[in-house]
Amino acid sequence: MNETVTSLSLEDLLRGSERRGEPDWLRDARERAWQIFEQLNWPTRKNEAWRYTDLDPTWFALDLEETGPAELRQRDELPRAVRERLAESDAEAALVFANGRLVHAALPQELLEKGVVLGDLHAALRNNADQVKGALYQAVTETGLQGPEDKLAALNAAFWSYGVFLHVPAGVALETPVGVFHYASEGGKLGLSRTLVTLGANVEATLIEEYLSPPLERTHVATGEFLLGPGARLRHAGVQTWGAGVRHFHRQRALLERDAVLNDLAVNLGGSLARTEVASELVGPGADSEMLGVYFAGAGQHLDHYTTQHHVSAQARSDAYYKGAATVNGRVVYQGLIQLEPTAQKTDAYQTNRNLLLSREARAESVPQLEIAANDVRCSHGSSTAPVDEEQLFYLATRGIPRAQAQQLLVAAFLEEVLGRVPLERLRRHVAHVIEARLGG
Amino acid sequence: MSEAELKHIAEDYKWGFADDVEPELKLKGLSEDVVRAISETKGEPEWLLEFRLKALETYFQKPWPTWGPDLSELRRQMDDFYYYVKPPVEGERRSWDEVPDEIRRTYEKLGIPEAEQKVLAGVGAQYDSEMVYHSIKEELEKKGVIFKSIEDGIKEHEELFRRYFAKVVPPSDNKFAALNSALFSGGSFVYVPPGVEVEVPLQAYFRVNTEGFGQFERTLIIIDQGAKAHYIEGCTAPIYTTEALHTGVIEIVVLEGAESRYTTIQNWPVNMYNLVTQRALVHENAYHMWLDGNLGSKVTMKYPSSVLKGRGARSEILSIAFAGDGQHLDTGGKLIFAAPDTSGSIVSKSISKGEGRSSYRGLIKVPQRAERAKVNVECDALLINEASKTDTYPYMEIASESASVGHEATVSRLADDQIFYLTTRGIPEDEAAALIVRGFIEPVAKELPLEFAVELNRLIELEMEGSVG
Repeated sequence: MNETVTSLSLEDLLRGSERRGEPDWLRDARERAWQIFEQLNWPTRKNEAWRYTDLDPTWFALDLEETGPAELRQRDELPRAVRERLAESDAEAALVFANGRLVHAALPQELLEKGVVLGDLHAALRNNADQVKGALYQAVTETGLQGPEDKLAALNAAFWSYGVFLHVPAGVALETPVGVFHYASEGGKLGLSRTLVTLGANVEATLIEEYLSPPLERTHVATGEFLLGPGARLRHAGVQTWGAGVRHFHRQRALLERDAVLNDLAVNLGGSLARTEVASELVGPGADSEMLGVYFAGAGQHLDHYTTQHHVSAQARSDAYYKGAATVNGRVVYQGLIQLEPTAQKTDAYQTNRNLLLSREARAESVPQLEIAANDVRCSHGSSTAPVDEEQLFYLATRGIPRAQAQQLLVAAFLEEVLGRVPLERLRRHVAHVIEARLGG
Repeated sequence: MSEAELKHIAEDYKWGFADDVEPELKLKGLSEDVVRAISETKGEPEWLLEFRLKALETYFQKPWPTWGPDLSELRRQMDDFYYYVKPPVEGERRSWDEVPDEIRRTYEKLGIPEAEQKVLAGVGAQYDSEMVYHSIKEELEKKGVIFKSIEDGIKEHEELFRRYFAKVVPPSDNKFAALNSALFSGGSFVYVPPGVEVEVPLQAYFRVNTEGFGQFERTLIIIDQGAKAHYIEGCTAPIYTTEALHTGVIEIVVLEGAESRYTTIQNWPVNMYNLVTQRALVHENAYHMWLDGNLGSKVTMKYPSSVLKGRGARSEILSIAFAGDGQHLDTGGKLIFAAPDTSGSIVSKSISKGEGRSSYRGLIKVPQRAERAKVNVECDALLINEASKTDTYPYMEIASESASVGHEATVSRLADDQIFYLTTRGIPEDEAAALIVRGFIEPVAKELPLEFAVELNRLIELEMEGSVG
């Protein structure tokens, strides 16, 4: 252990667990995670996975954001930023968390009748105890994603204070997306959230998670666990638009059984530092994981991404496609790993990263990696980093479009190649608008 | 390694014979005393002894790599190696007749004197720790070309040597560069004066004969302004039951407008740890090519690098790796763009057979000052059998707005349908497989000197026997 986070202790952990009336198994799991957290060192640049991102332990020495009972409000009483997003969203079922507390919940009657559970994870621990017990910490364990033990994952596993539980029973198809909004307005806090999604066989569901706040100093560690039963289809979008000053750490892992399909989109636009780790484990044949990523780093921003495509089963497919741009002194990082176990014959796996550098001080690092232990596979990856095409700028100039505007157009077109794969029209438009605003400013 | 495994390997490895040569001096273990003894035997100047001792300290300070192939077995054996083995030859000979019979016959079996006659501009031959033969064609010597052992380079050209030695690869570069800096013995010193073009290659041949031995050759090559040269190294050893270590350091300085090429055909037996640092400093409008063929060894960690120091400098890295059972070849390349208008490319072709594992590891670094730098990397891996493994670890660090960086990699297997097609045309299965493998490496292999290409083909045919079906 190289530094202690002073605001956290085992006593606090146990007291909090008791106050919330958590079951023994959860308290024990939290305690195990605490011990792992205590043992592990903070990652440094000497860890291959953290080669391009400096982590400062004091970022986690903030006041732990405590949750409390839900304080449900009507839509028009919600913070304006959230109201606007809700109005622009297709989501009929929605949860809103403000500073770690559930403040709004909408669940159409018809979904309830179908047996869909959407709510606060603490409530689910009481009302859907068995479902949660069998699923929590399965996709993201106390030590993190697969791979080296991860202190931040242990931190979240030990201390997560609020969370989301979405369960869709076998055979149910949700026609509209579920929206979860993580809103923060209090500075100086350490927020730890956990999202657990369990989909029965042949389910269809879409979950959009957005992170938003005004500019403030804050650290958020989010964890997502997705368990996809046979033939289940999950579309997930994580849209990070925190205000400047927020540091965001995101760990997410999906387990895909036979013929399950995940379509993931990670959008990193806000905050001052973001580290997003997204992993899929292809457990059954016919499983298919698509991971898309879009990021844009402006002044003072450092956005780091890590994708893992872990093929355990034969005859599965995965594709990661991350594109981003950096301007002013913004810095973008992409690292990715396709890992094929000896059992993963007849795999198709692809990985692409493309970056645009828009100014002299901007930087990009790209490390797409393959570890292949099966031979009957189709596997490829590509990476490129380049400036905006001068010829295209020239062409647009001849059409009377000023250089700055032409550059905006070309960046939008560049990122549209990824966004265009997401059939969520209104979300796509929202992301495009945020990027446009950033390019303009 | 078990006797059965050894026998299996020995059947495929043509160069696995050992000579009955009694060395004059053998130094075991890794200590300051051994370093002092090496320096004393060579009658070195004081500054070099100090350099060696400091490097040994650096070696002990640096941690073992936490990435890449498993070195734990090597680590356990570090105290048991012979770090200096002097063959019974006083000074290096300029005529093969002066080389002791036993040793000369080895090089004859390897075909070195014959090749020297036909296709080479000069030959250096290292036997265990020392160069036993060094010779260059007279007309090149008259033009001022220097081709000597590293020891004679130090003695006879100290000023030139000191200007460049350890400047390209300092001992602190990595743990094994430090080890080499402490223990180096043998290797070549090459200088090509301005404007002189050495049209045919210079070749150095490294042979290990002693069991449980570590070879640490050190090569320094300086190609002066507008000059041109091609240097080839080859290496083989007998097969023993114990592991062996080869840790070379190669430094190349390519001055303004010069052109250089460095070719390695590494064919160590599969009990060799081959941990080599190679780097070229490429000045304005100069060009350097690394052609790196790794066929043998148990473990290879080797990433030829070029630092493009002057405006308009260019470099290419071509790499072939062929990993069979019991082999992990971790190879690749690094290109550092340190000036505007520089360009480079890396093409890597790897083949994994049986339980062999080949890994590509690369670095592309483009700092802000490297305006308009252009680089392209292409890595292709071919997997022959179900248990064959391959990895790709490319690092790209780009801080130049106007740079253009591309990387593509593919993994594919030896395709049944292609083999089937060829067999329907009457080509036996083994031959069909060899044909496909040859086609796969062709883009790199075509850059090899003819004799090496022939040797590589022979090797691939041998390797592919009984590998499919």
